[in-house]
Amino acid sequence: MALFIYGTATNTGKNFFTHEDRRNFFLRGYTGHDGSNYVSTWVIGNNEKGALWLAEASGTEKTKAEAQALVKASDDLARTAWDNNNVDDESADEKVARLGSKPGFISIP
Amino acid sequence: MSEYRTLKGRKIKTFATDLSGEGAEGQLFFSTAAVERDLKIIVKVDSWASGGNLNSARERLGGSGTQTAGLAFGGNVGTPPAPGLNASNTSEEYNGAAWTEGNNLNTARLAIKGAGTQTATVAFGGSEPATTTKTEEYNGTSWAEQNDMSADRAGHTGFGTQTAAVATADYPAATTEEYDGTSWTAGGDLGTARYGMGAGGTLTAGVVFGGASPVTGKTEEYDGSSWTESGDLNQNRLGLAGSGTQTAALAFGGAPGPSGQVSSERYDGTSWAVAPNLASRRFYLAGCGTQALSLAFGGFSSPSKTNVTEEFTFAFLSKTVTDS
Repeated sequence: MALFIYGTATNTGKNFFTHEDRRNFFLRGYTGHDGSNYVSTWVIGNNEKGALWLAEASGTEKTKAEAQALVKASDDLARTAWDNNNVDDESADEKVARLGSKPGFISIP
Repeated sequence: MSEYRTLKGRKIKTFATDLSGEGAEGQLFFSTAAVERDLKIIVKVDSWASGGNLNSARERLGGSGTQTAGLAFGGNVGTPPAPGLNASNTSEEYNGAAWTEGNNLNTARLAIKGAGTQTATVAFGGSEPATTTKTEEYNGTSWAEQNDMSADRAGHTGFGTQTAAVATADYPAATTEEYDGTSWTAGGDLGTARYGMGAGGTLTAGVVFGGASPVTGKTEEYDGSSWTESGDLNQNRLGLAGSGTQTAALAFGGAPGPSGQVSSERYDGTSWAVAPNLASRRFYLAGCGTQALSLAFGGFSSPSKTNVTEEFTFAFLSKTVTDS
């Protein structure tokens, strides 16, 4: 059985996930992008309570490949924004000092 | 149907007052604390749960207060990377469930730090984007300008109270300043100059940890006059947040990593131990509260700033047992 299930769900704030949820299943959030909007993408422990949480959060289940694609699309936007953010006569080192290193790609578990 | 006594060899005891504390973990008991007799069990809570979202997503914001009475102020509401900088003057109050907008800072700034409570906070330094020495106090209703720090600071951290606060160095300087509720005076120099630290404690018993450059896990304790090096964080990081005291602190979030870290660590006055992870990774977040009841809010998780709040709780709580 796979260790995780994947999905998108909007973090609605208080009680979106509870201490009991954290005790019952693994949960980690990533920023994804669906081509139009940023979407909260979740890696969830694969058990009954994890699946129920995603359903009760009005989430949409994704395959791992779909979830990874959402996260990669977000990473691509960040990398493109970094590439396009330039100042005249700025060296590569100066750009890194100004913006930080170019964002990388995140691999979800 | 089997009886509990048959299965376990003893009866379930009844108590007029709920059991509590670590020693009671796992204990099953009848409680007559309420009108009806309830079957309860003591469960350990040691995790981050979601809190109410900030009204305004931001990173490099300031924070103070407690988990049920927090304060968020300033920060960057632009879209990084720079020059997507847009310093905010807004402040928000947290009541343990939701954030409500309050009156604005007099001077908008990001990388602002502060110390105190929701009704008595001092906020200092930051970037307008020009680095500033400005100091303001919040009384639970409005912000008022106070005497400036002697040096401008934007990579600093802060801890203490509104009438006894410390502003740490801004790399490459190692100098610190102390606030007495009226004016700033020189404090002891940090052992290692750095920016992007987390902090906790009071003016006479403070602690700072992490920061850069380079990224470090160094921890130093302050006694009101000088700094002493202590045990390092297990994970080197900058742009993290902290809460608690010199002998019971919590460090959470931070960079490196384009989206930040989820990890947390607990400090006991000597060394750091791994604590439960945040659900949402980020850096340049704000934090407040105690080691056992902390609040993490805002921050940056590539590619953008976030409004997400998480509440950390370490406690042994009684839970009513139901058949569902």
